[in-house]
Parts: sequence; C-alpha cells; structure tokens
Amino acid sequence: MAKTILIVDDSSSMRQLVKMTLTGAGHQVIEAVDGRDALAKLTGQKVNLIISDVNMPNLDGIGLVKALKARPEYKFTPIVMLTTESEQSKKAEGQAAGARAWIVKPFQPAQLLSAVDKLVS
Amino acid sequence: MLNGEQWTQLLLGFIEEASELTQQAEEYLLQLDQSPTDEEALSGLFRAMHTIKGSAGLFSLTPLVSFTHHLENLLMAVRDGAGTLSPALISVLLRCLDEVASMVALIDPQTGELPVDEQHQAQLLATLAEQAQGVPGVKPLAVEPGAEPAAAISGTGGAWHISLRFSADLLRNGFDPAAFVRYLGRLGDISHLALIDDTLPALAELDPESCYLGLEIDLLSDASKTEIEDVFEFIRDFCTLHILPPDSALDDYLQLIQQLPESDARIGQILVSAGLLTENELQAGLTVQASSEAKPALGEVLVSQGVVPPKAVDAALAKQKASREKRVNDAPIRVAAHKLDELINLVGELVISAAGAQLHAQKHGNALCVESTQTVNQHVEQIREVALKMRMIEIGDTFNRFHRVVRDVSQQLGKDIRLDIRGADTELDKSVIDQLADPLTHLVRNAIDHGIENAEQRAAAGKPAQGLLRLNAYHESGMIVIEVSDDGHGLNTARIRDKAIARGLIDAQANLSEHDIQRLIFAAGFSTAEAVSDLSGRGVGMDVVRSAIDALRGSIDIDSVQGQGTTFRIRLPLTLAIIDGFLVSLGDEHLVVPLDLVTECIELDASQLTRCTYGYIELRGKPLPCIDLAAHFGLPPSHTVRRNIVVVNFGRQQAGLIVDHLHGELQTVIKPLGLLFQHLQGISGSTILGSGQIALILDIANLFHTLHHSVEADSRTNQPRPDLTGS
Amino acid sequence: MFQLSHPTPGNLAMAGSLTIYEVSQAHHELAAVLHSESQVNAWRLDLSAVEELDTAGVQLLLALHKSLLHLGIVLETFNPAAAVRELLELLRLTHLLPPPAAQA
Repeated sequence: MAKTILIVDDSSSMRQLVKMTLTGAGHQVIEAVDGRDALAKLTGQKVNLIISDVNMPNLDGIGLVKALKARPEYKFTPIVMLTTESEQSKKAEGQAAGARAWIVKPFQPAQLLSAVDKLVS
Repeated sequence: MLNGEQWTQLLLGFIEEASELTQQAEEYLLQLDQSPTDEEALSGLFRAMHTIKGSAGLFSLTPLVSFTHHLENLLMAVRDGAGTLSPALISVLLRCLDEVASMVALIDPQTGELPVDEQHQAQLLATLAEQAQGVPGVKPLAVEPGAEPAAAISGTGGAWHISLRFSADLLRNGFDPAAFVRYLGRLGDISHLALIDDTLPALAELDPESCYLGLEIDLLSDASKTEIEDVFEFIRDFCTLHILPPDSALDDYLQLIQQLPESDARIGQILVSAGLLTENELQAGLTVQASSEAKPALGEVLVSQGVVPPKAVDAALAKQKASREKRVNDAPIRVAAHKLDELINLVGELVISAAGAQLHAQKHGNALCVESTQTVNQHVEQIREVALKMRMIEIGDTFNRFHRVVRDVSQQLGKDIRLDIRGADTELDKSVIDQLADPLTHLVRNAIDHGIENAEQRAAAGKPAQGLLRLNAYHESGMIVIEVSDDGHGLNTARIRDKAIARGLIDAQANLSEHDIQRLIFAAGFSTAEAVSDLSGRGVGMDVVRSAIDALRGSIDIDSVQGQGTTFRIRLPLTLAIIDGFLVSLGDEHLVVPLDLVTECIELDASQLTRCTYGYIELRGKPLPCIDLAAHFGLPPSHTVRRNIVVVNFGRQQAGLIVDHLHGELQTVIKPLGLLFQHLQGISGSTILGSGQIALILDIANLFHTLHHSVEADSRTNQPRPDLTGS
Repeated sequence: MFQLSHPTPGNLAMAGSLTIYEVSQAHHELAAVLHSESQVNAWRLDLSAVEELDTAGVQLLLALHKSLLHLGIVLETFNPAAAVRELLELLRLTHLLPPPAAQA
C-alpha cells in the first residue's frame, strides 16, 4: 500500500536517491532540506514515515526528532535516521530523543526499502 | 539452503543415530523382560522411539515416523496406565524394533528414499495391537496405519516458530506489529499465527496506547535464522523474541513453553494446533520434564506446602545442578570414525618421523639434540596413547547385543539359557570390535545350539536345568582376551577324531593330544553337528571364525572338558594401527616381530641347526620347533656364522625364528600391504623405519600355521616328532 | 480523524482512522457508550467507513470484545472495510469479522 514518506536531507543527491527508490516502490515522497524545512512542511497532513539525515544545518536530525515528539499529530510517526559510521555517538542521543530505527550510510536501495517495509508495510 | 551433499551428511548422521537408538531400545526392552516394572528402562525405550520419530520427520521419512509413532503410543499407554509389558508383548516389540532397524538400514542416504514392506508392517502392528489389548493398564490401540501420524507430519513441513512478546512502549514508539507480520509474509508462508492477548485488560483499565500483545507465528520459509531475526531489527529493544528452527527438538519447544509468561498448557495448545507438536508429545514431554528436568519446580511446591524447609531444597537443588553440570562436561562428542583414523594415521607418521629425528641426533652425537629429541619422543608417545584411547570403546555394548541372540535362539530351541556378562568395561579398538561381532555371534549360537544340552539331558547329567553361557573380556599381557564359555557337554574328541579321519584331515594313525584334536574343529570344512541346524549350521564352520580372528592378528583357542563345558578363548591385539615391535634382520632385509609375542632371544652357532627350513633345536632340554626365516621367505642363505633365535609365544605354542641380527625394540605403524603383496604368506604388513628403510611385519599366526602343517605332514609320514605344545 | 456514531441502542458505527493516533479518543468514547449500554444483548458495530486500522486499533477492538463478553454482550461487526478485513485476517482474528454466512 502506498505510504506518504518525508525525506529530510541537506544533500540533494541523497534526497534524489531516496526519492527514486521510494517512488519506484509506489510511495509518495515529500522532500525537506533540513529540520527546519521539515517542520515547516509538516502542516498537519498525515505522514506515515519520516527518513532523516542526522547532520544538517539549521535544525539537525536529533532536534527534528525532539520537535516531532512534541507535536501530537506526529508523535507516533516512525522516524528512520540515516547515519554514517562516524556518527555512532549520536545514536544514543537520538535514541534518547525518540529515534528508533537507524540505517547506516552508505546503504543499498534495497536496504532502505526493506527498512521502510518493516516499519510501515 | 543445504546442498545435496550436506543433506546426505545430515541423513547419514541420522541413520547412525537411529541405529544406535534402536540398539539402545532393544537393550531397554530386554531389561524390561527381566524386570517388567523398570520405569527407567520404559522411559528410555519411549525416548528412543520418540527421538527416532522426531528426527525421521525432519527427513520426511514418513513410513518410519508412522511406524515409530505406533510404538511410542503403545509405550506411553503402558507407562501412563502403570501397566507392564508381558513377555508376549515384548516379543512383538522386539520384532517391531527389528523392523525399525531394517527401515533405518534401508534409507538411501543419497535420495532419502525408504522402501517399505507395508504388508509386513501392517501385520506387525496388528499383532502389536492384539497383544496390547491383553495387557492390563493398556488402552486398546486404534491401529490405522498412517492416519493420525500423517496429520502430525503435515504440519511440520519446515515451519519456523517465532514467539514475540512486545513491551508496553512498542506502539507509542511508532512501531506497528502488523507491519512486521506483513514483512515476514514476504520471507515465506505464515502457516499459523496466534495473537496473544492474555494480559489485555477490559476497556475500563485499558491504556490504549500501551501494547499488551504477543504473537506466536509459524513461518514456512527457506530463510535463515538471521534473515528472520533481521525482520525485527528495529524493535529488538521493544520485544522478546524466540525463534525456533523448523522441526526443532521436542525439548526446545518445551523450553520455549516454559520461557513464555503464559501457562504451559496455553502455549502448548498453540504449538499443538500449529502441528509442531502432537497432543501426545506435549503431554509426554511435559510429564517427562516434570519428572526429570523440572525438579526445582517440585522443590518450590514442597516448600510452599511447608513439607520441606527451603534450605534443604536449596541444597538438593545445588546438588542436582552440580550433577547436571558434570553430565554436561562429561558429555561425549560424536566424531566421525574416519577423522579419528586420520588423526591416528598422522600420529603414526609422527612416531616414525620422531624416531628418525632421534636416530639422526644419535648419529651426530649432539647431547642437547639427543635430549630434546628424547623429550619429543616422550610426548609423541603420550599423544599416541591418548589418540589410541579415543578409538577404544567398551566391549559391553557388543556383549549386550547377545542378550537378544540368546533369548531368541534358546526360545527357538526350547532351551533355558542365562547369559552372564563379565568384563563389559574392557576397552578395545573400535575397528576390532566391529569385526568381532560376526565371529562372536557364531560362537554364541554354536554354544546354544550344540554346546548346551536341553533340559532333559541336563537333568540326566545332574546339572541345573538352566544352562549358562558366559561372555568374558579381560586384558592379558598386552592382548585382549575374549572368552565364550558354556556349561554344556563339551567336545567329544573321539567323534572329532573320527570325523577328521573320515574327512581326510588327519591320518588314522596320527598321534594327537586331546587339545590338538579339539583344535581340529577350526580346520576348513569341519563341522561337529550331527545334523546341520537352521541356526548355526548354514555350512559355515569354525574355520570361518578362525579366519576372521586371523584377520584381526589374533588367535583363537579352545578348552573343553567333556561333560562340563567348552571355552573358546580369543586373543586380540589392543589396536590394529600401531604395534610395539622387535626389529631383526636377515642380510639386508629388516623384519619386525610383534614384541608382545617375543619371550627371549638366544644366540647360537650355525652348526647347532639342521639345514632345513623347519627344524628343531634343543632349548633347556626341550625341543623347540624353529623356522629359518631366510629359507622360508626364499632369501639367499645366510653367511653369518653366529645367528640368533627369537623365541615367540603364540597361544599355547612356542617356536623359534632364526634370524641374522637383532636390532631391538621399536614402535611402529602398520601399513597394509598393497594388493600386489597381499598373498604373501607370513607377512601381515609393512612399516617404514626411522632410517627410511622398509621393514616387513611378520604374521606370527600364519608362520605357526605353516609350522603346524609341516608337523602334521611329518606325523602323516609317521616320523615321530616331539609335540608342538610347549607350555 | 475518528468518529463513533451511536444512532440507536446497540447500534454503533466507526468511521475514519482507528490508529495509534486515534485510539485514546476512541477508547474514551467507547468506554462512555459501554457505560450506558450495558443492558442490550448485542452490539452491532458497522466498520464500513473505517479507512485506516493498525494494531493499536485492533487491540482496542479486542479489549472492547473482552469487556462486552464480561457483561454477556455479543459483539457483532458488519460490513468491514477492506483495510479492516485485511488486518484482521492477517492477525487471524476472524472472530472479530462477521461470520461467512452473514457476508452475503
């Protein structure tokens, strides 16, 4: 079943990769360039899943998770964090904020799809 | 997925396990024949059938599953009904076990196919059902071959069992279990799923955002355990997950039942309805567990009822735990025999190369080098001993098999015979034991058939009505001795002599001792039975037994007192792989004499000898038969003036081997002779010396045989010669 | 958006989403109806307008079923929407679906 997924990343090539992968699987994708942009784009419409980079300008991934958990209409929305190996220390911080699923970059498109399916199929 | 070869390996493992279990089952059954109320034997028997059934299902060996299922059912009924097995029922069960054994033997390890004689099985099961009805405590069996068990198997076509219990926070964290179930559906077919909502409260007490649920899922899938685990990677912190591979052991399911928070019966029923367990297995399993594993639970019950103070229970539990741990530490590891052979072969090579190193060190005379090679040699020696010990198994298992033979054969002949087993813990090489089974069976059958008299004859001879057959094993001077003795009428030497003369084996005037006449039964084509009986006749005589023992580098002897009984005594080397030898030489040729057989070495002048291959010298006033090995093997005559005689003992006989030089003791690995040299008389193998030279190992049994024949030839030509029997 | 309508005693209808976002509200409303409707023999629950259902929603239905059983009330669902049928079948909770004969 088609899902609405928000992808938050400051790298446009990464957004493109994720978007292509997800739309190819039939999902609807909303793009945001950083945490602040994401919060601005989330104006009450239903989103099934949020995929977010950790390291971003303005509002980083962890700040975004904290902000989302505070908003009743998004507090139960699953969030997948995209991290690199060097950001493992951020994981504990992200977990404390409420991020539950992690994908380590670089990843294969299939990996991303299977994570999405595990969470919202 | 497993490839064909891996599967065959697994199947071969099953075949081995199943034949061992059948063997064990038979022993338990015979135990029950002696003491029908032996609960341990009964549950052991049940377990054996149960395990075979369970594993057979894994390989889709449906006929085996369904057959053992019937046996299992009956045994369970007997156990639960506190009934006993009647001798008649035991007889049928023995035949059923034979059928199980034959099915196991018929499994094709390549294809997994199992041809079955369905008619025979149906007859057996019908007889079984008939007998079972006559026994108090046993409910009548509904024997409908294949019906119920087939249903039991169909559910276990490779289903993974997945148990999930979610933590309360799962849903709040944005996880939806349904998503994981859908994802799981991609890995295979979800054959069963039960949503566990036992802790879900009524609406009034419900926190709707908390999760109260669990899942029991059966998944038909080729996926690996890791793949299945990965489905739940994101919720690992929010659930407890148990994954049982397809067709796990009953114990694993039982363990799962205990681990899960719901009642045993609740989870048990889920597994039963999923077809992973049968109702019977569940009940049986829980009962077995309650009686053996779950003692602590009993302890708790006792304390809570105030029957036992907690401390006493603690102590008892600690003790149980210790003994259980000990059992784990002592648990044997199953190793393929060929791997052990490989190890022993390598150790054998090591023995040789270490000997070579020591030889070189001694040549160079470097003291340090000599010392360290000596240490190496000591260690090699220890390794050798340990490695050889690994091949050693107790002969008890082999002996115990004869309970069945004795029972069956004596019943058939209407004789009452007791089997007495001694020295069951005597160990010997596995390959020796394997090759010993046939000759032993022959000797045992022979003793029952021809040795022990029937009741009337025994009464007339003033003997107890019950005949006695004894199997005994013990160590004696580096050899294993195995005795098969009976208290029957003994050998009739007059008759043997007549027959031997009639068959042209000996000359009518031959002057033979009692013992030599007795030994004639080992001659080819000799049979003492008046009428060839169905049991041990079959045209095979003692000569076959003897050649089997010869092949093991052993010897067989006989002791019989007329009217009192007969003892067959088999002597065998401890192992076939390595021997302690005594190195001698003839010119440039090196020969090894098995050290165990050497009694002394004597130096003598060439003039002392007669110039023939088989002659005599005088040793301390007694004639000693001698073989001139050079002449025997057709080597050029020796020019050495002073020669040596190695005196060897073989059984009761003694003889001298005439050689040139003595080199002393050595430890050596026996290498079989190639096909080309197998016909060589008097040589049993070869070995490579530390120097790289090849030495031949003498086959003493064969040499004695040759010597004996030359003596017989002498006695036939009526030239009086001293008796061979020296001791 | 979740809506529970209760036109006559023993007759209820659910509409919109019944997911983790809505279960608190739905729980609240169902508990209130249960409080006032404990005298009927059966609850007839129309699920035709349920657009979205997740495990949290299923759990709520199960708790409702359990509570009604305690009171001796039968829960009869009817006209389940596709999303409802799919999830209840996935979780093998067919007892929450109308019996096959009633589907026609």
